[in-house]
Amino acid sequence: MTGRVIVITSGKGGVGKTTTNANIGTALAKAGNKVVMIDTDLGLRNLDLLLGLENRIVYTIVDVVEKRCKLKQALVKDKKNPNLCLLAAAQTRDKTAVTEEQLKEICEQLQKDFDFILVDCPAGIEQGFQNAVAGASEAIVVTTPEMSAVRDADRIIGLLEAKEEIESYKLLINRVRPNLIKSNDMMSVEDVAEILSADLIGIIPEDTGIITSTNKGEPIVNDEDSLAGKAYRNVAHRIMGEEVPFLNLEEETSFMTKVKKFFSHLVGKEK
Amino acid sequence: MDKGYIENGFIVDLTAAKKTSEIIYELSRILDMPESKGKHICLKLGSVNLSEAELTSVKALVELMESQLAFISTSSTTTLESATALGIKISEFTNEIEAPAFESKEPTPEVSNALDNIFGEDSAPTQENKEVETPKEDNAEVDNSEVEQEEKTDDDEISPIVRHDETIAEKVEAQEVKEESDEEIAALKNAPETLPTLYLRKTIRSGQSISSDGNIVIIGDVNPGSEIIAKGDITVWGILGGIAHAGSDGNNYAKIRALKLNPVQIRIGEVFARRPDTINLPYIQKSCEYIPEEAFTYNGSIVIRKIHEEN
Repeated sequence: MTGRVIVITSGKGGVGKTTTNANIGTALAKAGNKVVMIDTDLGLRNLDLLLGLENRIVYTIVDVVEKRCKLKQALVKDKKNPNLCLLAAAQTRDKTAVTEEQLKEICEQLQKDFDFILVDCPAGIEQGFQNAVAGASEAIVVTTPEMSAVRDADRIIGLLEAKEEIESYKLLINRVRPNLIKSNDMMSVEDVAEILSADLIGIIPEDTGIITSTNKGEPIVNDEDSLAGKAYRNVAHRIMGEEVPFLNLEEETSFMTKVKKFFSHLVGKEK
Repeated sequence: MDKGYIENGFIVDLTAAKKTSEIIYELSRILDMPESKGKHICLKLGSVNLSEAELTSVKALVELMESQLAFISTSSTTTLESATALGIKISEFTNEIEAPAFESKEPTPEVSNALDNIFGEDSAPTQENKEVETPKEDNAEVDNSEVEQEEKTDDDEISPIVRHDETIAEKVEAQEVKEESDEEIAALKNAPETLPTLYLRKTIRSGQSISSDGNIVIIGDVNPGSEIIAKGDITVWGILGGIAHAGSDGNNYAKIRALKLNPVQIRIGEVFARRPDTINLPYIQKSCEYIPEEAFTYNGSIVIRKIHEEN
C-alpha cells in the first residue's frame, strides 16, 4: 500500500493549519482509513494538544531522525481511534534538527503502512516549510477571508507550484463568517478562490466550539452537531474522492433557522 | 441623437444636426462605442447640405472606426448629388427597420403620417419629424472620460476627433524628442519593437519576480506582492496588481498594458507613480468586464488611459 502524503500549509500563522490537520485526520480515520499525522513545527508543537495526546509522547521526530528509537515506537496512538497516529515534533529543538531528506525518508516509510500521511506545516516559508513540503505530493492551503492571509496563501501557492513533487494543491477557506460576507465586510469565498485561482476543497465556518474543543483536546469533528465539524467531515470525504456539496453556511448559522429546523424535525417534515 | 438597431448593423439618426461639425461629432461619439465596431451603418442625415468633400470625410470617418457605410438617407438635394457622385447608396428606410423603436410608444395616425414624411425620399424635414424622433432610445450614456476627451477635441474637423488618442501620443514623442536628441537615439536603440519578448502563461503570485531584458507578455493575472521588470514593454492579459517597471534601463517610452491596471506601483523608465491612497482595493473582482488600459509617460508623469481602438 502506498499512502497519500498531504501537507497542510498556509504561510500565515493562526489561520487554522493545526486545527485543520487534527480534524481532517480524525475524520479520515473515523471513515476507516489508517492515518498518521506528522507535526513538523519543531519547537512550537501544538498538534498533540489539539488531539489531547501530549501526555503520551515519549519519542519525537527528532529521536527518530537521530536514531534513538524506531519510527514505529515514536508513533503515538490516538485515545479513541486506533487507526489514527501522531508523530510528534520536538519541543526542545528548532527547525534545523530535521532535514528535507530525512523527512522525505520518514514519509516514504510511513506510506507503506498508512493510507494518509498528513504533514502539519509550520507558519512561514523558511526551512520548516521546505522540510514539511519535501515528502508530500499533495497540498492543502489553508487561508481565511482576510487580505493578509490571502496574500500569504498566494505566496505559498507560488512556492508550491515551483515544487515538482507537489502534484496538486487545494484551497481550504477557514473561519468564514457568512454574516460579515453578507454585509460586505468580509471577502466572499468565491472572491478568495478567484483571486488565488485555486480549487476549493472546503469552506469552514467560524465556530466558537473550536476554542473549547482545542482546550479539551478533542477535535470538533467528534461533535456531531457542530457545523464546523460537519464541514471538516465533508473535507475528509472530498479528500477520499467523494463528491460532497459545500454546506450552505448562511442558512444554517442563523439561530432562528436552527430553531425552525428543530421544530420541523419534531413535526416530521424533513427539509 | 438617436440610434436604433437593425440586424446587420444600425441606423444612426443625425437628422437633428444642423451643421457638418455636429454630424461629425455625433457620429464619432456613437461609433467610438465598442458595440458599433464592424457594423453596417445607415446614416440619416436630414436636411444638412453636405458637399462631396464633406461626405467623403463622413465616409472616411465611418471606415476609420472599423464600420461600413451601408447607405444614407437625406432630404438635402446637395447631399443627394454628392452621394450619387461618390457612389454611396441612397435609401429609404423601410418601416420594418424602424418598427421596434416605435412599438413601445403608441403609434397614432400623426406618427404614421410623420413616418411617411420622413421616409419619403423627397420630403423636406419638418418640425413634426423631430417630435417623432425624440422619444426613441436615449443614447446619452457613453463612458464619461470618453466624452470629456471628445469634447476637448471637438473643435471642428474629422481627424483630430477620430484619432485624438494617437495624436496625443505623437505629440508626446515629438515634444520630448525635440528636448533631447541623445535620448531619441537611445530610445530608438531600445524601441520595444526591436527587443525580444518573454512570453509567460501563468498567474504571477505574491513573492515572485519576473524580469527580462526585453518585453514581457503575461497571459494570466499578476497578483499583488509580485514584481515585473522589463527593459521593454509589459503586457498583461489579466489583472495587473503587483509592481510593474517597464523600460527599466531608463527608457521612458516603454508602456504597460493590462486588461485592468491596479498596480501598487508603476514605473516607466525613471518615472514613478503609486496607487492613490484613496483607492484601497488590493484585489479586484474578476467577474467584472474591463476595458484594456495602457500606462505611458507624458510630460514626466505617468498617464493611464483606456484603449478603445487599435493602435
